[in-house]
Amino acid sequence: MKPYDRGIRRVVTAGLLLAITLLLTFTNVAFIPVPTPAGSATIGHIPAIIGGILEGPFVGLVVGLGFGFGCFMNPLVTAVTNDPLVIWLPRLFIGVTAGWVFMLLRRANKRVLAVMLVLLALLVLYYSYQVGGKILWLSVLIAFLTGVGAMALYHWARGEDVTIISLAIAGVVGSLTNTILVLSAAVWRKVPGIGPEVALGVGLTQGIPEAIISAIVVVAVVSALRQIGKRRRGARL
Amino acid sequence: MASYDALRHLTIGQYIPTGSLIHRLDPRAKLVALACLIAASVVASKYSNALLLLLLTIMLVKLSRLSLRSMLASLAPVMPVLLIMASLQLLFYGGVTRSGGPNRLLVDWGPLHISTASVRVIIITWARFATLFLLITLLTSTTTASALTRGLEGVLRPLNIIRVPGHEIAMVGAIALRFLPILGEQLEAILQAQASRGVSETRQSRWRFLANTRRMAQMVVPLFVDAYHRAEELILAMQARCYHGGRGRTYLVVSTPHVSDYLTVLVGVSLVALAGVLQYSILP
Amino acid sequence: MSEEIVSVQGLHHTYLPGTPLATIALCGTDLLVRRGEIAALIGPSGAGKSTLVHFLNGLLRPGARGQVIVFDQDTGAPECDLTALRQRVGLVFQYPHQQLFERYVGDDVAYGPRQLGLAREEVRERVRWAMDVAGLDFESFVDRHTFSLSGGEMRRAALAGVLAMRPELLVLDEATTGLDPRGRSEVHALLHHLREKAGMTILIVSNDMDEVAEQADQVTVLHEGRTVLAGEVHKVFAQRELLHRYGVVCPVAADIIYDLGERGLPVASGAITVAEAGEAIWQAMML
Repeated sequence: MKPYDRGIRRVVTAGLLLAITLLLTFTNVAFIPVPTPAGSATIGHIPAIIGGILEGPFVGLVVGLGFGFGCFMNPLVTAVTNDPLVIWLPRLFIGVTAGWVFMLLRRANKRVLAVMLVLLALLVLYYSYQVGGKILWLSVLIAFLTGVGAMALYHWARGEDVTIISLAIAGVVGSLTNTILVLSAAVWRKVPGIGPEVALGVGLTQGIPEAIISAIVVVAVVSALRQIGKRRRGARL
Repeated sequence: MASYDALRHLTIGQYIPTGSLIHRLDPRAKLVALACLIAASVVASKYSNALLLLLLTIMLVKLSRLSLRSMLASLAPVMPVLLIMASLQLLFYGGVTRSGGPNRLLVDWGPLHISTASVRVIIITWARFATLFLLITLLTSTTTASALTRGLEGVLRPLNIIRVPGHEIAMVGAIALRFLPILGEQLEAILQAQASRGVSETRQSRWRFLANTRRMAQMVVPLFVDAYHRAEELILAMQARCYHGGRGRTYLVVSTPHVSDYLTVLVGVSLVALAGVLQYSILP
Repeated sequence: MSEEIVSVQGLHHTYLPGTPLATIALCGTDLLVRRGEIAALIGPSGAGKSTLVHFLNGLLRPGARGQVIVFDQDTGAPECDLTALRQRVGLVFQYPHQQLFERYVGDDVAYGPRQLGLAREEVRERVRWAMDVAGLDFESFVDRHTFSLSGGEMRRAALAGVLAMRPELLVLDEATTGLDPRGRSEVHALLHHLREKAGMTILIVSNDMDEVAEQADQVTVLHEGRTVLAGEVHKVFAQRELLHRYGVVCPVAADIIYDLGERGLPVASGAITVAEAGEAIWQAMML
């Protein structure tokens, strides 16, 4: 009886998460209005992320496969391109990367995370300095946003469980995997209308809001399922 | 979210039995043929083979005695967006296609670029899109969900040799299809219950980004929790029935392949070959 | 004559009209609820009870046929304020986990009042009251994870969430189905408390005739989408043949009194609750 139990758990979890994915993508419930040109961001990739986090990379892979299939069936997507390498293949990695990141970070030291945050901020600042050579106001903007963002994140992270922080990071990573891989594939396969600059633009304007959304939703769902997180006394009620 | 009912009756290509030849084919044959046709469609980027494939697909639809019109009608909601995208691509894309070929500029006026290459790309993209859409709708309309999962499992079985868990993957699909309508009902009930508590129904403006996200999280969390509980029940049930995966598993419905099934696969493969040939021929 | 707070007349509703899956849910339903009473809506499964109830707080709105007036507002009119309506009409569903969504119980109960824009002190006050009335100790439950609660606790949390809005009309859609007898009597006590102390009007949708006989003043019977009987509870339950025809079971006490009468005991008819039946039998035996 014992040996196969994990298998059953994985199969069933993957099945139900896949059902949610299909439900979300086919009923257009999975779109949140955002202030970007496209108008809405998707959350259809989130069940794949959650699958990776809860049951490991294999489940994340299978649900990602299903998500790819769901995207395939979406007329808005196939009108742009119907290359399976662009629509399907990248989605497999969403759950995988999120799962790995979560496994790595969940017991990490908070200080390690803080250091990583600082490094990341420095990286972005360096990039903005590079950009500053060409477009000054943009680099200043990026630097400013980075500074503000980093401080806000640090403040939030101080009060939260490490598990929750790693959930948020896993959510971001999963979403970015989706964005980056799909757009790279589109550029690589020379999908008409999507050149490198367009891809970069779309990546930033869609990818960043989607990453933030992922973080919020993933934290909300997994913390409800696993009862993670303690209320900070005096917080709101 | 005014139409709560619609969620309950979600259809991804409702199965419509008409007793045609295509309905009676072995699902494994259909899946393999579909894969071939998709491959052919992806390869085809010239007028001749893209349009040929589209024509063949339409013939297949006729053969299945399904209504072409109602298939296209299900595209109606997204039609406006598609048309806009088509016109944008037509007007502004002035690049070169992968297959090269002659490229004459037809219109070059300010930001507008229309060349024969862009016209070709547009037409072929849309032919491909139509082909794909019809093929997938055809598959789901002629094959029941359980037949599809059986077919998937059958197709994946040879892969057991390289340790790909085909049975498990098909089982995931079966579970997902089984729970899709149930979760749909749940979502509907959740939305109703939340609306009754004053959760705002109307779509907020796009700028209230964080509020929208919270709203989405509120809606989605009960859904995941419910799915999780159902998962726990199902896991218990499967354990109680000593489910142990695909090895040594027997089946209630065993489909033996007929001549028509082999023929189908043959047709699929030859179409891929044909597409390849046409692609590199001198036809436009 | 109490004020009528709900008046439904000739309501029709079809799900998914125009598609092959269209189903007629209501075809000519009437419902009347007066302020301060405990009203019940009964009928066999599929009669349209839940559908009807969804009209009361604007989840569904009347189309071409039928009229729904709640608190003097026509819910079919485009200018009807649904948010205000939903504050006055509190709808509690059968499955609590569909209604809960916040991470912590306190936040979930506080959701309604916060949506109304109340001050923090007021919100806290309401949450405390609501959880108290619903039977959840404020201090120990306010910081619990919502989904870590047991089924019964979740039910109370969902109820508290609706009560915190202080609705004037509380609608319970099969809220006691599947409860053990103790849970059920807790809910009943709660209903009476709400009516006496908070002045709420209550509408229960139920399949349990004993419950309806014990608790309700007025009863409306639905059958295949139409209102077939309505009125004071004793009068409705006296019409045994009609009720049987419509697939409605009578309360056990009423059945017993009827059978005793058939076998020759001179019991006064008309008893529907256990207490009334006991009294009638006692009277008959004293003769």
